Amino acid sequence: MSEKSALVHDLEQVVEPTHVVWRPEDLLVYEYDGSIDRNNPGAVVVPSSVEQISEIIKIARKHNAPVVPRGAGTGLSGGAISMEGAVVLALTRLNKVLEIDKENRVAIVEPGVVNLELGQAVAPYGLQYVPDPSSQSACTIGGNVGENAGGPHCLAYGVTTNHVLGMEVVLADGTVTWLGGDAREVPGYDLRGVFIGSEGTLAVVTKVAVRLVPQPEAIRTMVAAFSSVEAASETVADIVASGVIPGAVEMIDRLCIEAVEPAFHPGYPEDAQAILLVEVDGLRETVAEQAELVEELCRKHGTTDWRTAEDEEERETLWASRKKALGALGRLAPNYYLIDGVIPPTRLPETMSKINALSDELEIPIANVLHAGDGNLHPCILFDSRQPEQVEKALIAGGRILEMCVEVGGALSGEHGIGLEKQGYLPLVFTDEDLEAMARLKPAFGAAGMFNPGKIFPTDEQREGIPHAAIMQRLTSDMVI
Amino acid sequence: MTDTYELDGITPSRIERPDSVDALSATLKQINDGAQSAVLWGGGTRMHVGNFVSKYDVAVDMTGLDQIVDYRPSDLVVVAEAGMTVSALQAELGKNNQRLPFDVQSPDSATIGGSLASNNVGPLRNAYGGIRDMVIGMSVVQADGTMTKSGGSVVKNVAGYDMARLHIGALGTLGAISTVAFKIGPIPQTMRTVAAWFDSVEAAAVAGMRITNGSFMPEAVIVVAGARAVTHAKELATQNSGSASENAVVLVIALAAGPATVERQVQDTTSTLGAAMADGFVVLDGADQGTSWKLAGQPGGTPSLAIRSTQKPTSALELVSTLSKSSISGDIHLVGQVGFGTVEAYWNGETSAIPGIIESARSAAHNVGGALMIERCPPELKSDLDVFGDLGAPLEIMRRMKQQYDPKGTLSPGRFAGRI
Ligand SMILES: Cc1cc2nc3c(=O)[nH]c(=O)nc-3n(C[C@H](O)[C@H](O)[C@H](O)COP(=O)(O)OP(=O)(O)OC[C@H]3O[C@@H](n4cnc5c(N)ncnc54)[C@H](O)[C@@H]3O)c2cc1C
Repeated sequence: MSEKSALVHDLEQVVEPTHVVWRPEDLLVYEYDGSIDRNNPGAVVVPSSVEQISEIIKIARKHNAPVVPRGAGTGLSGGAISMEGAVVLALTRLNKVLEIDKENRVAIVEPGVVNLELGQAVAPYGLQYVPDPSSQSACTIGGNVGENAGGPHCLAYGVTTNHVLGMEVVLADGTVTWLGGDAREVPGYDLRGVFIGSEGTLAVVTKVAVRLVPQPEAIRTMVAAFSSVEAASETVADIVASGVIPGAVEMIDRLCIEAVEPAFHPGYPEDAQAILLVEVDGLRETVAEQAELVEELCRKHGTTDWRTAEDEEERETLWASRKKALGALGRLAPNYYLIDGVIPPTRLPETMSKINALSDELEIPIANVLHAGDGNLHPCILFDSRQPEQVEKALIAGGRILEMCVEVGGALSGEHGIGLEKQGYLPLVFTDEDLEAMARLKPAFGAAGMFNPGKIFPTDEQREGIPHAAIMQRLTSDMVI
Repeated sequence: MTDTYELDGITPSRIERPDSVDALSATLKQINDGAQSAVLWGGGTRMHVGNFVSKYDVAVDMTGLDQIVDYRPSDLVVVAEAGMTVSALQAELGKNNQRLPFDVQSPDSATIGGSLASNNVGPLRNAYGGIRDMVIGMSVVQADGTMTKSGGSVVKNVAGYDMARLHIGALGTLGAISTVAFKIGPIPQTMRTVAAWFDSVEAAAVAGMRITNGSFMPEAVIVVAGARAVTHAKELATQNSGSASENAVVLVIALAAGPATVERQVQDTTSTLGAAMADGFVVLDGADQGTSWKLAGQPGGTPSLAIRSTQKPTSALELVSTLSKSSISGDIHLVGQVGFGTVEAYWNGETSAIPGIIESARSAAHNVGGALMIERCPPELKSDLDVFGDLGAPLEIMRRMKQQYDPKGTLSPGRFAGRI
């Protein structure tokens, strides 16, 4: 029925036709990422080399078609969704670990390498790659660079930007160049730093030099149950204030416990309202010192059950219950809308209470999983997409939570990015001048109009209207998340 | 008064010292509107970094912006104005037993903004990354006076582009840093310094690499070569009834954590040093640690040449070795930050010899894949040379950055890479 466009025709000269997707029924697969948005791409191309990528970009430019880089499509803010008919450039075939330099603790990888696979590749050298998004079994290093991804273990050791030394990119004119390199810094403006977290809007990443660190000598994983979310939150605030930063401090609340208990059997006490999962790592002595302090603070705030993982198997169960908590929420409701916001840790107790109150007020369940130690909230609003009034409530709740974060001096996103989801909220924090200064990065990279259009920056309507109204419009009642 | 603000032989016609962000904005707007150009001054400790400024009418002294804007110890966050000195900020944080894990030379005069803009970083970055890794938010007044901000005051934030990165190391050529939000940390309970001496760079390098790649990450590890290192090694040796050779090279390691952890770190470190055949070593405590760390900085007085090259750690050690054996070795002071891979070299001597030294240092750095920057050299040499070296294709992007953020060339025109 549909005809091959001239663009597709040209793309097929560079990449084997089996790796160019253009029929509407085939494109459906690429309508989504992990967010609640969706949209149809103009075409999808799956190259296997940087040379092909450079050619593809030149072709797209010739046809005035913008390009959207895509990793695994697990992004939660719509970053990999194609707007304005953009060509999706899927990087999944560039999936090789090219080099591991043990002594200098650097690896060079292609962008389609899956986060967990990088970890597995460097483990035999006694090394690890720190940022560990909960989606690490699927998400790619390119996508991690795109979103400046974090994860539970970023509390003590920093997020993607602290672990990426440089990347090879293809610019809007097809030029291939490195931003940063394989050393800790290069002279000149820090183009690497400003690029990380740019959500595919400035260039396509084709290689990444990552920093590795030695695996710790000892790890201790501890679980503390609390009879209220507030008590757990106060404990977290105290841990942070003590200045001893554990490897990870994660929290899940009652609703999440209900979802993960039958799925993974972590054995949480039945009456627990909140669970803290704390991990300390390093030298044996460090682990002992930090664990003692954490236990003391948990006891001070009345933990009802305190336990240390006995062995690696128990540790893995505990981590599965945290990292796969989102998947388990499917047991509670057909859909969830995951909000990513950040608050100062001292404001955790009051904010968690407010989120609970909001859930009661709107009569919509909210399950909470948190990277608690850095104040990174992930309230999951549970709803049924077949019920339009529930969809609307979910969006309203999401907006209200983001406003709460901003009110206490927090941020609109800690790790998932702005993408399509939160463009409309940016004016809550940034002035027109702030946004204008950010927007100038595009022409500076020579990328104006070329990469991932329609993302990050609020549209004119969004600058005026209620952000969620726009999302509401895009959503249809038959959507599947 | 204006000569205080002389730069590479040019004296400005006017000095402005705004005492608020609003005043800074008004000042820059006026300068920009009047087609004049300005050089931003912090404490003036790193003004020698950068190319020749091609036009310099007004000195904008930032030290009037010296207030703490917000300090929340329990959230481990501080927001301060850029003109505050590093010491003043540390003193405030110290009251709560906290610190910015960040060391600069001359902290009493170096300002936060100047340290950021000139990427002034000491050995502590081995464990904590550069100062750029501690910045969580930044306000910048642009060349035309527009006030902008990015990031915020929570430790994790990916809302909008990470604009602060652009200004760190930009020498104030893209905007004036006005306030900065930092992630801070506690002052470690226990701190020790282990100082060891060896009879060659190679021997020190092997030990240094083993320690950085060992069971834990020391706060800092530096290899120091040159005359000062020899003197220091001899002093340490004498105090400990040992001896040090005429080519002595010093390895200094900072350990900091809880008491039991540090005890273990000392054990591991000293046994590595023993196995690596150090000629001797000492474990220093309290104020005694300071002397060895003085080696990390530039020698007293003003060196005629200072260079900084960054590469992979193993390459850095190769570079230290090459430079320490070159014809200039006698007058050189070489500091290699082992884990980070930065090599700093300071040299004192005749101006006429400097172009040759630069030439050979550049080629030595090039051979190990390093990127070398000349941080200080006699002004008369600057007209013939780009102190940043050749930055390749990214230079084009940097030019466009300048075009976007300072189209009229108001802020230190010519000072950055490629004489942007
Ligand atoms: C269950 C679940 C749990 C999650 N947990 C976490 C978590 O703990 N922490 C966290 O940070 N995130 C988390 N995420 C979000 C998501 O996994 C991350 O944002 C991840 O980094 C996205 O990687 P991806 O490969 O899927 O990228 P995609 O979704 O494909 O793309 C993300 C963005 O990066 C850009 N991009 C991708 N590849 C490139 C490239 N090569 N060059 C330039 N731009 C590129 C895209 O254009 C897009 O804007 C989670 C998601 C899910 C579904």
